[in-house]
Amino acid sequence: MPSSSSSKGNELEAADTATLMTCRLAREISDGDVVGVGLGTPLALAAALLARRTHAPGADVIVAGAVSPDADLATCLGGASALAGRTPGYAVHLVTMEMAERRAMTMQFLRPAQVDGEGNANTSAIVRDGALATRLPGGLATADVLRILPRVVLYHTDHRPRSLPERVSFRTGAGGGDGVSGTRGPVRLVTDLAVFWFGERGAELESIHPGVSLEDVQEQTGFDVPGATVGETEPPRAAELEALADLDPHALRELELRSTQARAAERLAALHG
Amino acid sequence: MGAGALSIDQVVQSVPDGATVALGGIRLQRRPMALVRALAEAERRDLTVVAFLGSLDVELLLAAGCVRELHAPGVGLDPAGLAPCYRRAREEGSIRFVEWSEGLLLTSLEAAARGVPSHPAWMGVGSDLPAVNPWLAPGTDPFDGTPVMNVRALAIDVALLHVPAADGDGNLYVEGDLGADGLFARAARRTLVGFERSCPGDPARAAISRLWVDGLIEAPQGARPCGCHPTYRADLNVARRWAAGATTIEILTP
Repeated sequence: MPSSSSSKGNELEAADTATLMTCRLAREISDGDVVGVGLGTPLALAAALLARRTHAPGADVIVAGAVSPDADLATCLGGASALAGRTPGYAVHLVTMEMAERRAMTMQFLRPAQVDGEGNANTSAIVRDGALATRLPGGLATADVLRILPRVVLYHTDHRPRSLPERVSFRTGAGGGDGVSGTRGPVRLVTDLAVFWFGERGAELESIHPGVSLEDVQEQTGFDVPGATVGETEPPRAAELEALADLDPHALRELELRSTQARAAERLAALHG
Repeated sequence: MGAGALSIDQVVQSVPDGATVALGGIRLQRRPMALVRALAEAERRDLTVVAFLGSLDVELLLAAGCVRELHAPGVGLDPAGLAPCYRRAREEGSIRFVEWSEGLLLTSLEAAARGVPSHPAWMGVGSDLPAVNPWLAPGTDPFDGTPVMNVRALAIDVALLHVPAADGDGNLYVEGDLGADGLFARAARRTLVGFERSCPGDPARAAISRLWVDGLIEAPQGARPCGCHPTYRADLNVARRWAAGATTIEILTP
């Protein structure tokens, strides 16, 4: 488990958490969606591939310029060269940006370092007590898609107060969608502890992962989480586990959880040399 | 117009201290590493570097102290890890970092390619990016009044690209994601391109027309240790060593 969770009585092992999050993210994809996923977010990529293998075979997944490649997660992570000959079409970066602006891309997963209760996202810099504390990767595509896509699903693999603060220290992308064009911005936030949905009042708890209590979630969340009776996050279904075993046998979806990422990176290195 | 054959030394001579240099490729693919190594060895100073999704090329110029200003939506070594020199330079404030998102940088390049002063976008509205990037100005569309982000054109002196193949007429052939290279070529005052091999090609299928190519450099293996699809793959072991702190020009020299 991430170190932040080990003290919270979370009974899920990190590997199970990665699988649960992958399945929960996959269920956000509908048949007919056009989903852009980057190589830097393998857990989201696993979710997108899983959705195509299960309930959304008609969704298009754009990864490393390839449109819906016939490939497993490890192959996709090899990038364009690994996907050559396995893809029915290409959509280069420039085109995916155009698609985002005219909403021809319908949804995307983002994993910002910070998310607040209004759905604002930060991939730029952490400021603590008025001083720069940490530089993050940079603007990436966060500012591009967060507000303008029909749907954005946020996720975070290390749910703690500073990851989900009352207010992000830099708004790389603004939450809340665009009232003029009717885009909704972030619609869900899936973490290693719980699932939130975004309504008019911002983030609201939707479900809590098995073994996690409401108090755990409240304690680890920087924005206000009102007490509410919510259900448990639906565990992975048999068909999802079966598909995952086939498309991610090396569990590379674990690359994004702190306690599993080092060993997952070793497995990836062994595969790609 | 029309591409002359250049040596790497001639490229270095034509890029003075203080120039604005765009680096082509996407992540660990098709970075112009041979040209970048030559700039680092020549101890170029005060460069303004523009990269779409940069990796070891930007890292090397930072490590060698060549950079005064960096324009990028991100620099990283995916899937080998984070970019240590990029992170350190921003945390220490040793360079001026102008933060972009991917789409806003492409919009700026499009404005430059078209020769207009700015271009509007939907992207980035409501974000804090204009506070750290003076090329961005929130505004409203003059026709329907909707909020837009106005993006100023970036002026680029020279774009350095690397491609797997060029034909005898100087047209460039790329497989896979072109990244921002097509826009860099059209936006920059000069575009200089390293290529793996010369081969006959159908100009109608070229990724970048000879119209935008000002100089060609025969540079086989010129993207190593980054990859040049489909000719060779990135050396992830080198990228991992760099990410772990071995930030010397020697480990980037094949």
